[in-house]
Parts: sequence; C-alpha cells; structure tokens
Amino acid sequence: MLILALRFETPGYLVLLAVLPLLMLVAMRSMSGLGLVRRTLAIILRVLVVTVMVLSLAGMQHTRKIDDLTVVYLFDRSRSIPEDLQREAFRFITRSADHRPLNDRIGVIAFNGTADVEQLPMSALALDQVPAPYHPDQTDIASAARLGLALLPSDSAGRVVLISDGNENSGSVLDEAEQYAAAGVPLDVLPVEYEHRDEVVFEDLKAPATATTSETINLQMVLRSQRQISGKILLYHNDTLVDLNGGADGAGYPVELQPGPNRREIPIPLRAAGPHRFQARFVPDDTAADTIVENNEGRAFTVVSGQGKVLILTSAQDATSDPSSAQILRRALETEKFVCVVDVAGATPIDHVRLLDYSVVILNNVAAGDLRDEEKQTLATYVRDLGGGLIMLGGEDSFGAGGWLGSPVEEVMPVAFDIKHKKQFIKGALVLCMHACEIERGNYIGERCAIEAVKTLSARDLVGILAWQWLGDQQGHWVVPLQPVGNRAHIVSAIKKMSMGDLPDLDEVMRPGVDALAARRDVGPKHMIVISDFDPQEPRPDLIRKMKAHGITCSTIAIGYGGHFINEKMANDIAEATGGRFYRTHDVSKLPQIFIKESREIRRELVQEGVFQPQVADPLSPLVVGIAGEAVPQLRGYVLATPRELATVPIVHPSEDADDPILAHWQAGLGKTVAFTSGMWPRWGPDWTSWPKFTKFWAQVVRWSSRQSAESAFDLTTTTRGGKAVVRIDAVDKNADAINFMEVAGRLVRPGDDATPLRLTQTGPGRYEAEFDARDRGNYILSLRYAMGRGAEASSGTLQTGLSIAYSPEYAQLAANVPLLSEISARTDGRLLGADQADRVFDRAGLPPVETRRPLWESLLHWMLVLFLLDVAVRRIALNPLKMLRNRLAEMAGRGRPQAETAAVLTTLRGTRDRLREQQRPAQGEPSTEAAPPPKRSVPTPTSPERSTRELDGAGPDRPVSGKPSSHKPPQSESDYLSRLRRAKRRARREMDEDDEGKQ
Amino acid sequence: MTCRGSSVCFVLVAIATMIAGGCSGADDQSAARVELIFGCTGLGPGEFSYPRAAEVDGAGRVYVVDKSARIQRFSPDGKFQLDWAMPASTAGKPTGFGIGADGRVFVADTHYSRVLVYSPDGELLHTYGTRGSAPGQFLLPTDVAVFADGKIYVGEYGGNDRISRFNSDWEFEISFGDADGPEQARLRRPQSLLAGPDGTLWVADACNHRVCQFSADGELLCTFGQSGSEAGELRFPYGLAWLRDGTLIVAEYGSNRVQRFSTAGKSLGTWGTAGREAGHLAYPWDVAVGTSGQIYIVDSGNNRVQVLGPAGQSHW
Repeated sequence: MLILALRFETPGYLVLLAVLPLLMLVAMRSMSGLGLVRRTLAIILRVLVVTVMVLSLAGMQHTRKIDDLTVVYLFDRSRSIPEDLQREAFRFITRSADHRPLNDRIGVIAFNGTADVEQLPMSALALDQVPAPYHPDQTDIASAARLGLALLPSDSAGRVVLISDGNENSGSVLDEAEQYAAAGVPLDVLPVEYEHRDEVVFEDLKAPATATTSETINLQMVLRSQRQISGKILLYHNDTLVDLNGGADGAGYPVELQPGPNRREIPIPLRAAGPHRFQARFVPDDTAADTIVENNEGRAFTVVSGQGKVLILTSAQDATSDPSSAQILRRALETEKFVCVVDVAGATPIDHVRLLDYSVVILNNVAAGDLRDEEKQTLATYVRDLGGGLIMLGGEDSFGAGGWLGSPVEEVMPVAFDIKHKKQFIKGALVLCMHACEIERGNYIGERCAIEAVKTLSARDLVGILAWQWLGDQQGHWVVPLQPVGNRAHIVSAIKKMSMGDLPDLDEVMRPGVDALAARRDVGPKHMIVISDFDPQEPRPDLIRKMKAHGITCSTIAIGYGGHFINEKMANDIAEATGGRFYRTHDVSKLPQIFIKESREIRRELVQEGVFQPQVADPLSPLVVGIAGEAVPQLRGYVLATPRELATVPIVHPSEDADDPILAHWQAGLGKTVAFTSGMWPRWGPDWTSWPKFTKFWAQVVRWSSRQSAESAFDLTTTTRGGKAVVRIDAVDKNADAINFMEVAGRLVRPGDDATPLRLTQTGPGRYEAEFDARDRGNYILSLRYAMGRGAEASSGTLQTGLSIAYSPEYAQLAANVPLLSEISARTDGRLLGADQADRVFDRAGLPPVETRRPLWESLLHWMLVLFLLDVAVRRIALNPLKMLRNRLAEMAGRGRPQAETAAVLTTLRGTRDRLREQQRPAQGEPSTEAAPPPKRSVPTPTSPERSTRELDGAGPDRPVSGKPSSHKPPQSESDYLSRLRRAKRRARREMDEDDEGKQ
Repeated sequence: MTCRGSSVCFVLVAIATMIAGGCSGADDQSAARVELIFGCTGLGPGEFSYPRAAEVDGAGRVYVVDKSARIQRFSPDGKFQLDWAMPASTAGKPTGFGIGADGRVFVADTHYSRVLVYSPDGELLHTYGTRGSAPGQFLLPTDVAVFADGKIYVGEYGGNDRISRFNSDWEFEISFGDADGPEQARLRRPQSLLAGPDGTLWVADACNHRVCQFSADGELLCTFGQSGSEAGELRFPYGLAWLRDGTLIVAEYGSNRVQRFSTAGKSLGTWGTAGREAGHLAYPWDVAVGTSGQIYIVDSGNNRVQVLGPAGQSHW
C-alpha cells in the first residue's frame, strides 16, 4: 500500500515564493521591448525557474508510506541453552516464516560471544539450520541487538525478535534497548526458558598465586548445590590424582553437599619450584542427580619460585639414537647442577603453564613441523613476554633447513633464517599447483597452503603458483609466475585474489609448471607440490617423463577425505615416479606442517657439511668468557643463517663471502635467545664433546639465557568474578611497613597466546591492583616486573602468577533470565512472545507507520537548468513564423518570374536606390546629426537586404532611411540626447503594437 | 547544501558521461541475441550455486542441477516450479543427468558412485550403483543417456574412464572407452552423453578435447575436435545437445563459448565470449535445447542460464 505525499526539509525557504509577484511586475516592465507573446512566455518561464529554485532550496521530498515489514531474528546459540531447546527455537523461526505475508522479508542473526549474519533480509527463509558462531562460551546479546538494528532496511517497517535465555555475560543489552526505543523499532522477545533443579556448580577453587618451596597451601573449594547430594571430590596435582581419603579405597574425598554454598579446604604440601596446577572435580554418587557435568570442575595454580629447570626438546630420531645429542647436552648441564628434562618435540603439548616450570628451553635439531603453530607462538611469547630463555641448536632439521623460516620463533632469534649475506648461494624453486576441491572451504584451504608455502621459502628462492581459476579470455593458469620470492607481500596479495574453479585435468596446471622449472638452469632443487582432491584427470605420461628427465620432484597432497572419492593411486603414482611424497590429509589443519616439511626439499642447500675451524670473533661476549683465549674445536657442519644487526656473534665460520654465524645471542623482549647453528654432536661435533670446556661453555650459555626469578616477600593474589579477574599485590618490607610508589607492570598472556600489557596501579597503602577481562576458558599467565626505591636503594624484580578459568560462564547459568528479557521488551515497546505465537511475528501490532523519503532536489535542479535555458532562448531569439512564412512565399514567387521581368524589376529597384542615396546625401560640410522619423509601414519602400536582416533580429530601424534632407544644427545637450532616445523607444513600441494588432 | 552543491557537479559530470556513453557504440551483438536470462547467485528458489547441468523434458520443462546438490525445475520461460535435493552431498555434488522418454530423471550422483532415478516431481524411485572398477560399478559417474529402447548409458571417470551400458532393468551389458579398448577409442573424462537420432551415442570426451560417436555396441564411429580455441577446435567440451536442424551444439568449458557442428564434424559457428555480461559466458558446463528450439546454456561461473531464441542459430 503506497500513499504519496510531499514534504520539505527546510520549509522556511518557501517564504521566498512571496517575491514572485514582484518578480512578475519587474519583468513586465523590463521586458516591455518584447512582444506580448514572448514577454508572457518569458515571464512564465522566469517564474517557474525561481519557483523550482525555491522548492529545491526548501528540500522538497517525495514521501511514501509503506506497509511492508522486515523481521530480523536474533538467535542465541550460546552453550547455556540446551541443544533441544535451540532446535525448538529454530522451529519457531521456520513456523513464523510460514506466516510471512508476500512482500515481507526475513533475516537471521546467530549469536553467542559474537554475532554473525546468517541470512540477510530476503523474501524467504533460506536456512535449514543455523550454525553457531565461534564463541559459544559467551553471550553478548548487546552486539547481536546492535547488528540487528543495523540490518533493518530503510524501505520497510522493522521488527527484531530476540530468541534467548537472557543470560548475557558480555555487554549490556539494556543499553542497546535505548537505541531501539529511539529508532522506534520494537524488540520482541521469545524467552527460551529452562531451570536446572538438580545441579551442582563448582563455583570456585582457590589457591595462593605464589608460594615458597616446602610450604603447605590450603586449597579452598566452593560448591553450590540446589539440593542435598552426596559424592566425592577428585583432586589432580600437576595431572596426578591426589589420594585424599587416607587408607580407604579410591582417591576421592567424600562430601555431603547441602543446598546452597558448601565450602571445603584441603591442605596440599608443595615440594618443588615451578608451577603447581590443581584440578578438582565433583563426582556425584548418583550421576542422574546432576544435569550439567561441565560445571563440576575447578582449576587453579600456584607458582613456587626457585631455580627453574631446563627443557631440552629433541627429535624422535635423536631421542632413540645412541649416542643422542640431547642426552650428551643433558649430561653436561647436569654436572653443572642444572635440572634438565629431555622430551620429544610434539610428544607433550607446550603451553604457558608448563613452561613456567622452565627457565630455559633448548630446541635440539627440532623441525618446525614437529610443533603445532600454537606451540611455536607459545615459545615466542614465552621469550618475549614472559622473560624465558630459548636456545636453538643446529642440524639438518633446524633453522631455515627445518622449515622455521617465517615462524614466530624466528622473530625472537638473534639470526634470521633467510640467507641475505651470501653472494654464492644455490637457490631452490617450488611450484604449487591447486584447484577448487569439492569440499567445504576448499578455496580457503588452498589459499592457506599457498601462503604457508611462500612463508617457508627464502627470499632468493623461486616460487610459482598455478591454479585453475577464472581468467576470462586470458590464457594460462599462473597466479604467481615463477619468480624470486623477494618481498612476500605482493605474492601473498596475488594469492588472496585468486578464485579457483573446477579443474578437469591435472595436466592443465602441472604442465606449465614443469615447463617453467625445466627451463631454469640456475636453480638447484626443483620441486612441485600438487594439492588436490584428485578427481581431475591424471597428467599424461609424457609429462611425468619430462619431470624425471629434469630432476623435478613432485609431492602430492590429497584433501577432501570423508566420503569424497579420492584417486589415491593416481596421487601416489605421481609422487613415486618423481621421487616426491604422497600425503593423505584427513585433517586440513595439518596442512601447514606438511608444507613446512616439504619446504625442506627446497631448503636442503642451507645445510653446509665439511670440517672447518670456527673462530671467536667477539671475546667480550659473556658466553665465551674463559674460552676466548684459545682455539675452539673443529666442527663438521652447520646451518646457514644471517645474523641480525643488533645481535652479538661471538663465534663465526670465516668465509670469503661473508662470515657465517656459529654462535649468536641477544635480548628479545623480556627474555634472551641463543642460536648455535652447529650441533648433532656425534656427526658434526665429536671434537666438541671431548673438549674439556664443553660443559663450562654450555653452562655459561644456559645460565646467561635463563629467566631470572627470586623468591618474593610480596603477597600476590588473583580473584575472578563475573567475567573479570583482579590481580593484587600487597607489598610490605621487612619491618612490615607498606611499600608505596612502586612501578609494577608486565604482560598478560591470555588463552590463545594473546599477550597484552598490564599495569598495576596503587589503590591503598602497599596495595597494587589491576583488573582484566577473563571470560574465556583456559589459563591466564602474568609476568610482572616491579621497581622500587631510588638511587642506591633502588631494587627491582620479576613476578610470575596466573589464574585458570575451568569452564565457560555459560555453564554457571541454572535458569533463564526472564526478568531481563521482559525489561528489554518493555523498554522498546516490544512483545513477550510465547512459543505458540509464531503466527504473530509478522503482524503489524504496535508498529509505527513507516515512510520512505526520496529527496527531489536533484530532479528539480535538472528542471531548473532546462527552464533557465528556455527562458534565455525566449528572450534572445525572436522567431516570427508568419513573417518567415511570408518571406519564404515571396522567395518562391520571385523564383517563378520570367528573367526579362526580373531584370526590369531590378533595373527599377537600382534606379530607386540611386535616387534615394542622392536624396540622403547631406550638403557638403553640413553633417546630419538628427534622425529623421521613419517611414510608415504602409508606405511601400524598397526592401534592402540590410533591412530584412534587422527585422529578423527583432530590432527596429535605428537610423533614418527617409530621403528628407537634414538641416545643420549645433551639437545637442545630453538631455536632448536622452529625449531623442525616449522618442525612438516610443516609436518602436508603437510600431510593435501595430505589428501585434496586425497578427490578431 | 554542501551535499546539494557537490551533487550539482555530479549531475553535470553524469550528463557528460551519459553523452559520452551514448557515443561509445552499439550494444554487443551477442547480448542482443539473448532472449532470456534466468537465475542468480543464491540458494533460494530460482537461484543457483554453480549450476552444472541442464536438461529439457518432453513437456519443455527445464531441469537444472547445481552445487547446492539441488535439482530445480523451471517452465520453458524460466519460471521456477519446484526443486528437490540429493539424499547426501557432503562428499560431492552431481555433475550431470539425463531424462528418459517417460520423463524420469536419471542423476549421475558423481561422488557417491551411483545413479539416482527420480520422477519429474522429485520423488526418488530407484538407486543403482556401487563404487568400484568391476563391470557395472562406478568410480565417478558423469552423465546418463537414456535411449528410446530403454538402454541406459552411464559415463564415468576417475581412473576408470569408460561408458557402461545397462538394460532398463539395470542389468549390466557392456562397457567401452576404457584402457581395454582400442587406443583411439580411449576416453579421458567422458563428461556428457547424448543419444543420437540414429541410435548412436555421442560423447563429449572432455580431456581429449574432442567429440566421439559410438555405435550402440561401443564401436568408435568417428571423432572430431582437438585442443585449441579456433573454430573446429575444442577446449574441454562438457555439454552436448541436438539443435532442431540436426546439428550438434557443444558447450566448451575451457573456451567460454558454445560451438555448433554438423554431424560430419564441421564447425558451423561459435557463440559467446568470456565475461560477466549478458551474452558472455564463464565456464559453460552444459547446453540443452527446448521443445521450441530455444537453446539453454548453463553459464556456471555466472550462476545463471542464458536462453537463445531458435532464430539465434542462424547467426552462427
């Protein structure tokens, strides 16, 4: 239903229309020289021009009242709502969509901690399910409400329907309700109601943030139960079950919980330095008596300061060999009283809580692919933000040869893993072939693979990327033609722009790559990687023969497992025939590791083998104190790397090109890192293991890089409440006096390795506090530095602490927050819907009428331009159709006369002309200055061409044509001149009036 | 007022642009010949997510399958009528289908190694096929052709590129085009099958960039086409259909065009260029001809079907 109307944005300008009568009056006088018709037309046009201009200035708008409605659903997909209720809620959406009037639209937003648009407003519900966004552990109704309001189109009425339990733990939806009220959009609410009546919630597990060795701490537990229930508490200390029931069977601590909060305390003796992790779980005797099991757990940890340990991570191959390089190093360090732990990289997950136990981590020839991406990021954060030490030892799988290029670990090391300082260096070439695979997010996976491949290559290596993609009329499939990696940015940019399609034949994308690799004679290793679901046609046999002939290896990576047919035989045959490897990738998240492994094929030139004499280049380095004066033993191999500008490089391998670093170290953020590019002692350093100073050297290296920590007299506590955590330091000196004006700051590492700075502010005598968000499940690690006193009394130190969130706050909710939902609908004039009211969603009850406004000033400007041009034309161009017709007829009549008659007329005319000229000529020496009156129209006068032209121009005769001689008179005054002009004007007007009368 | 002031300039520029645009030349000739375009990107009724095959039944209704694993049925003038989804699609989506004389729809459910038989209204009537390379089994079936005598031909690829023939009771009879046959008859991804009026089988041999004609018993009768983009050459022929004048129309997936051939293999013209506008094509997978002679081109990369009038063929 449409209702048309006009409105004005600034109606005050309409006052200007009052000048129109005045304008008409002035125009009538000023345009008196025009004929009546032209004058009238010109005045009308001018009035229209001014009217349109005024309407444009007043902001004239075309308004349209519309009856269409857009409904946007905000669908709560957080964990607090049981799955069956979420399914029921979606059925409400589908039922309501069935009642949608023809022109109404429907949009869907799913939300939990984040809000995603699942369907833009459209004329049908196109979803058969609504996926949950990525943060189900939170509920942020406010952000969903904000998005919902933004999604409503302006050309229809809008209604937003919130389907939720109302248990928000991020943002405030009531703040957004004000925006709805201001916009006049009702926020209807369908409460998803539930109430868990048989529930035990492990509300809190508290442990002191810090403790000293040999101290016994009290673990405090708070469990809230809704009814009397019996069960037991299982406690794990550093993942080991603690026997809490004395001599009885089992290890559980029996408890009888009463309705309401129940507090328990368990003393735990601490024996060793490092982090102590505690995990307590309540297990009811009757499992049916507790609905949600996720909220039965509490976590905490205590950091005991003291001498940190050394973690040596090594490869699985080294761990099982004898002698093992890692064990050689471990024995050497243990003779210097270090406590060492040797572990296989990847065998035990690395996280920040685990690393708190260690002051140094040594990577002994560990390949980057042996650790997950998150673990590499954790190692970098451990150094930069938590002050840990990191030592990387060389080997075939280390540094750039181990695929560490471009990793977060490289960023904190004192050497870059790329080779920039060598003039003579054999580069490798990698070509990547891919296409769209028939799997979910296939294009995204391909893009990630290509970027990972580029990241692992040296800037001087060659890379090319081929993909079956839309190129229009262009030929070829190069996304990135084979070229030096150089600055990776433009290559990554090209990769992100590619849009892959269905590939019919692998030969199509592989052949150009093989041709390009075969043509390059200046590269060493030539490698190709094909990532595919291997449903395209296999490459032709001649292509495989060409690859073998040119030494091009090819690895194949099959993706798309899970029902999809994959021609594994084809993939395996290609890899086998060319000396590559075939990977079955069931988990696409492992693809980056595969690419890191594959990059070793290209990077093998980084490993330099052969006996050489390392030299001490910087004897002042603290790492070579005591050994600088003598020759260090020979080594038999190392990995090429480039020293960073600010790094100290105490030991090098001199070469003609540029010295290669063997030992380098520097400070990286709060921590220290050391690169020793040789290693693999039995193979590359047998002379080093027999060197008497081997033990002393490595003790110096480890001691220098160790994280510094000391026992603190400060009382450090962490507490959590309502998604917030508070870290508090109570600082007193040895006289129990409060320590004021300390500087306390550091880094907070959240779950997911997101490190942010944190500064504690003084809130009381000797008390320093900081608050931060702690909603995500996981561990929060704090590394703080404090400084106090001035001058000689100045002192500083570091503190480590943290806290643990055991479960999502979603699981702490036992009932829907209906009062909040009611408040939301009341504030926005919305409705509280019931589950059986799906048919009411699209009704118009309570909706204000909606208007759409279309500004018309732009159209008015167009019209004004046209009218103005017409106005000018009417005033400046005189078109007299009758006269033109008359002239035309006269011309035609003249053309029909015989020649003799025409000549006679011309002779007569010439005679008349000469006679007139004779009459007009003034007496000699008496120039004529007064115009003679013009002849009357009724008097036939010869028509000269000049006369005709003037008439067509619309101007009357302005000089005498009469033959009456003029008498000589003295020069006239100015008033006489004006009076003559007035007379001439009157004559012209009279003549024109006569002209008009003649027409009528 | 500032907005209005700047918009005056915009209006003048727009006028100048319109004047300039008006002088730029006439519309693309190809666009002029497109009678109808239906479908757009989306998952709703009448919308497509990479359509890959089309067929026309005896009543002139158009069926289209796309990568949402749906078959949609349209009226001859492109009005949506109904749709149905495949029973499963996580492993992959169908790439082709055929329609029998009785109106049944035979869908090559490619990644499930089977053929699904539906009624014209989408009721699942029959399922046939298991994964494997044995006679009567399939790896990746591409298309189905149903002959007037009830014989069913199924093309497949994936390492076992061949065509299998079944009787109307789905009893396996013969297979051909694989490595066991003569080298000249070996197929590389037979993407589309078409029953000839004389009982022969026409095959779009996509990765050999040619069209083959087989006898009903699998004997290779003739081939035409080779890799290239000139007239008479083919780049990944994916779709085949008969025009009413007895000539053959071929959708070229790799050349973004359709090409008309005589049955003797002589190129009679091409239509379409790469692009996104009307009259342009992006990865055309298939082509079908309506009962009135109109040509339905599955413009996969543009998520639409372009329809050429029956008179269109006289131009190319």
